Amino acid sequence: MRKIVIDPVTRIEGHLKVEATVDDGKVKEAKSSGTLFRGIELILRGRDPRDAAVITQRICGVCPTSHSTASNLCLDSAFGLGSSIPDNGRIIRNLILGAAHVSDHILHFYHLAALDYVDVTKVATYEGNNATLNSVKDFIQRGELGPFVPRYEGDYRLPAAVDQELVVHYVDALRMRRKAQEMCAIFAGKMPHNMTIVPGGVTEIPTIDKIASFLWRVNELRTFIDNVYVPDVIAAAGAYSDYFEIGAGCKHLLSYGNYDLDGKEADLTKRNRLFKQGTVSPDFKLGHLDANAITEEVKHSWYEDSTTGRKPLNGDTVPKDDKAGAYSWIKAPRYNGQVYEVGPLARLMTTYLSGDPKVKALVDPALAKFKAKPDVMFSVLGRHLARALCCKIIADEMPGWLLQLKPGEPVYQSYEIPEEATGMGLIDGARGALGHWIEIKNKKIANYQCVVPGTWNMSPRDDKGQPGPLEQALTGTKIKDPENPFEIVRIIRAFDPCIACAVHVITPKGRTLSEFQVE
Amino acid sequence: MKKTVVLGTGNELFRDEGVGVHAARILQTKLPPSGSNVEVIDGGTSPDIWSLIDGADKLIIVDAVRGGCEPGTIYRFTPQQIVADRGLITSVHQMGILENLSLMELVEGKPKETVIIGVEPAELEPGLELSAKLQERMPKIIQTVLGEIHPRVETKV
Repeated sequence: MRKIVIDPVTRIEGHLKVEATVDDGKVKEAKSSGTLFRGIELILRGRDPRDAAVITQRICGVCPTSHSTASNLCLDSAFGLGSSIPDNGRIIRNLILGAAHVSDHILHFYHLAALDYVDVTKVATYEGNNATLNSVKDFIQRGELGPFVPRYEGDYRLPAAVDQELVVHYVDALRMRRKAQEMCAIFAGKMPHNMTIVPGGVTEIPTIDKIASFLWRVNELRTFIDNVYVPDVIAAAGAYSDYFEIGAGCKHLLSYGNYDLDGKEADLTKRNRLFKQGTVSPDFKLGHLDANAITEEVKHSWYEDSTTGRKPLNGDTVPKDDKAGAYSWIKAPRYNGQVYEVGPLARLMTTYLSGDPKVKALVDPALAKFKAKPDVMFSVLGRHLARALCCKIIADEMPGWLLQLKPGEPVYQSYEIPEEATGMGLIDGARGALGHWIEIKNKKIANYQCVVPGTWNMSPRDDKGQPGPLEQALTGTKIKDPENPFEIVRIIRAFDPCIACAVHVITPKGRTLSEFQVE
Repeated sequence: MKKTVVLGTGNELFRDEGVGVHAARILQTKLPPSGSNVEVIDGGTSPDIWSLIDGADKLIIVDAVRGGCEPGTIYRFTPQQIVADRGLITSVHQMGILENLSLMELVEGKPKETVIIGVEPAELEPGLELSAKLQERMPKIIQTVLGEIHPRVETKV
């Protein structure tokens, strides 16, 4: 028996740590833990409610737009604005979130996950005339391996020509992310932290110029997604098709949906959205979303036991760092007391099962390519494929949304901050179900709780001892080479973990910087 | 005209971790807002900040740096002078500022020169305010950045 610990950046505090106990070539037990206590709720208490939208964006550098959207939906509901957001405001919010998600999905696949399947270092021996490959070759020869290593060695299966093509796409994807960031900036102002999404709508007005410059960029991205991103995921899946069988997980999916298609329904669990709200069971039954079924359990987390099992609105964050049996700073969110996975797979499948013909027309042929049934979607490759298809679906919708914008019409509904109120903001961020809850007393924040996608997927065991989704996906996995446990990192990365997002202090390797002091 | 970008990075929810963001906000009030050749960006902890610094001649990053000296110590170095410490990454949330910038080597728009003004943090607990130590050092931090923007001109803060 041996323990494999994936503890990527223990030298920087506050990241995901995964401990897998391997016995007889199989993961016998897995523990996923978040190592940083997040005091965000404590920072917000007593502040002006509107501060929440500005401050919660800072929880995460990758997902600020999703937090901003969730927080403003939460404030809309607390301020009684849920059924009166003007169409322009609703659509511009969708466009900002959509551009951010397109950028994020491309970032995740090419600049994180692809490196599990593509051997970038092979480019070091490239002898041809492709300018991009030669620039990557120069880059590697200069010792700029930072983005590519450390990594595991061995199981890289793509032929050299495909490897090289994917490296070219890796670089193209950087340019595509820049385009998507420019799209965000058209309506969100200075990125990465937008200031234009506000309670009641947005502060940015639509103009013909903005619509046109967004449109040509989104069309360029659609070309890339159709001709490069989706085909690359399918090509990788072809060479690694055993990963349709690896990492199934809990097989219960939860989606809050995203991209509001009308602004008149105040209840976010019922609002008409592009990606549908709901749950999916292992036998593919679609269930309605019930926000009252969401609780957070803390038996195995470093928080006071008296706070366990609460609904988020009544949630409390009382740290207890010496608690026996606890191993994570992440709480364990549960739905009806059960373990649920969130993310692109969940929102794709709720939408697929709702009968959306456009989504069926994408998923069915993709599965047919692999002669596979929908249940292979519960897997490492299923998660990558779902993310790529979600990216395509959003990008394909955006041109239509742009044309629905009406320059000159309102973008914003005014409001007064209520003396006392509660609010809830539910949205699927890029990584899945993201909820913000607020309680307002005397026009100030009395309580604020965020339940983020990473806490669902990376959650520790709950009060009943049920392991979280990532823990379940790892358990039982065969490990071919314990020195290079590819299976484990490929499972982790396919979930697109989003908890390692707090502290980014630059820490130089093996030296002090005293020689570089200013005076 | 030469374009200079000042990029303040870090997470302001963890006190001194956000020193770059605090410095960027102060610098935004000290420099002409637009149309000038100096742009100040509050980059937070985004992995996309490289895409915002298109075509700068000089990039000045202000960030918290663990350099091993007293809290409040200000460092000046270039990315070539250090190797950032990092393990195997499992999340896009772990991509650090230095490796994100190194990716700019592969696409157009890499700054001709990059300088890091690092500040040794005192407190990294949850909270929005800088520690007393770093608040006290802020004028010197700002002066150091302004001196970097206009290296040959005496700058008064």
